[in-house]
Amino acid sequence: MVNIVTKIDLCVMQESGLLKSIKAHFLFIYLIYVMKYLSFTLLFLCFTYSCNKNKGTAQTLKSKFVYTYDTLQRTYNGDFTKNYVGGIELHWRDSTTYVLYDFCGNSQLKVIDFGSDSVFSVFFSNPQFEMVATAFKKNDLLALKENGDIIRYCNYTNNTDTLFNIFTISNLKKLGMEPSDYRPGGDQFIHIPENTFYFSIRKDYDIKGKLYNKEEGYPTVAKLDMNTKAITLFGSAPRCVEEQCYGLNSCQHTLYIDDSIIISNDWNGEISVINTITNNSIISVAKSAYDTIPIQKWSYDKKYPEGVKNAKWKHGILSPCYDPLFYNPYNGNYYRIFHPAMSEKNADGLYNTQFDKKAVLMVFDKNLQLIDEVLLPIKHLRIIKLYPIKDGVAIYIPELRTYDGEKSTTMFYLQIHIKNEK
Amino acid sequence: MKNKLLFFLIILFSASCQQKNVQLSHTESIFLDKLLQKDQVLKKGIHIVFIANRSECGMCEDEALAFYNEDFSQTEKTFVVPQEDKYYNNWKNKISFPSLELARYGLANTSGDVFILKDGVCVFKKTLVLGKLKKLKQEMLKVLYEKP
Repeated sequence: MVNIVTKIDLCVMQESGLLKSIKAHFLFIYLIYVMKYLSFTLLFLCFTYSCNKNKGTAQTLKSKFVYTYDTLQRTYNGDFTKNYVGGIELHWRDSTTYVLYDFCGNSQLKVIDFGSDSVFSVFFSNPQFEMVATAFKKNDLLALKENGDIIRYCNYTNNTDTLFNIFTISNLKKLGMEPSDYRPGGDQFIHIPENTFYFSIRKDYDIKGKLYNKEEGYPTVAKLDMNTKAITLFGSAPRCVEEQCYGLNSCQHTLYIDDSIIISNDWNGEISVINTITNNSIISVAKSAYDTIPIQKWSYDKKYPEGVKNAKWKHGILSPCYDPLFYNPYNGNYYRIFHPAMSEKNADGLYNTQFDKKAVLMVFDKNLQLIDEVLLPIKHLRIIKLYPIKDGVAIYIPELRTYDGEKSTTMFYLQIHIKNEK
Repeated sequence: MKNKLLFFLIILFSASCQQKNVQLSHTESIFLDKLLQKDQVLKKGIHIVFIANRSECGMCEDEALAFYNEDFSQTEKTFVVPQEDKYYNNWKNKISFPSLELARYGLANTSGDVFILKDGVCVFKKTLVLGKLKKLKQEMLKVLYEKP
């Protein structure tokens, strides 16, 4: 508008010295105006470009599949006064049958899907646990105790017998190694060969389970041949775990499929696949698109070392975290949950808690390529566990468990059905 | 002049006699207001309030529980416990709070927290740290024996 008015005024006026200087003056103002306009246009274009760029990122977060949800409540009562509880059948809506096993003195609750020949471990806190690894063979349960004994529990007769001790058949003790209890939530066994027994190992822990050896690169998984009693070691403890530099997010989880061991880390999207026959390993990284704020090294105020536990817990709640990787034998896909980083306080100035932690379901194809991600309608940290079902995945939240010293109630919470591509 | 000096000394004396309040955080102040609303008894006299959370392991739990049961110059103890947990069912002077609410106030520390209230005002607040409970008890007794 100013531009037009200026032009008209100039045409009406006659040429004179004064007019010339006024004209030059107006021309100068006009040029400044044009430049201003151009710079604003340029800024606007830059803004539009950046918005489009962000839109592009958002589009990659858009799910390819249709997700539908069912909320379920499955209750299981375990009697801790008995040594062996036995199995209880759970019939899912899609006719998949799971059996839950619980053992007194064990840190795990077992979920067995006979349909797909797979076993899942659920971390189950019990301060008196003594068994560190279990496996099902022909409906019997093989359990490895902390002292190295391998015990067989018969499903039907409730009889138990000790088969042998792993320390007598191996040099694990000399290497400073011992069987390790399973990491919270992970560890799935699928189509494990008849005579194979896998278990996790660790190096040089003190009596309280506290790590004091800073050594890195030692094996983390053992494969036991039940026939020949030969133990082969695999995996490599990363430096990060040894220094506990990511606090509560320093766990490695293991998934066993046939002769393969798949190890996934808590603190990044790294997945390593080890072929136990050829001893080849392939490492890949699949980060979530929601993983925008990287994990910070865990630290605490050295002046107040007494606050270590609380500082660690706080770091764990706020940091981004990758949950264990799970395999679905029904469709060949893999799943894992990612929890993005979170701020310390909410808009009201109150502290964010583990129940404010967002959860993203990551879907991988059979080659462990990330094919989809979806933000779940629940907020929960770490304790979300996955159970593959025929058309998707079920989520189990042991935090909803109640425990009164003798009996425990476990609750299954959510089933996610993953339908065909949109 | 003499009167002025006397007046100044009286003010100085009354200020020194006033109990030292603890500077609570925003979230802790909200919690204390809610606590006093729930239990009016805490507004009068001296009270120890334990925020009793379950520890990570049995052994630690025993240590914390033993500490809760200790005698603190016979001062009345009140326990703030997570609403969902049946574990604390047989405790006396118990006030339930949803565990999520306690966490929102920053009071979900592994072995619990302790407040000492004098006439509804917080004069001491610490987080329980296992292995350091002896020192904590000394600090608490010092506050409890302080003359009002």
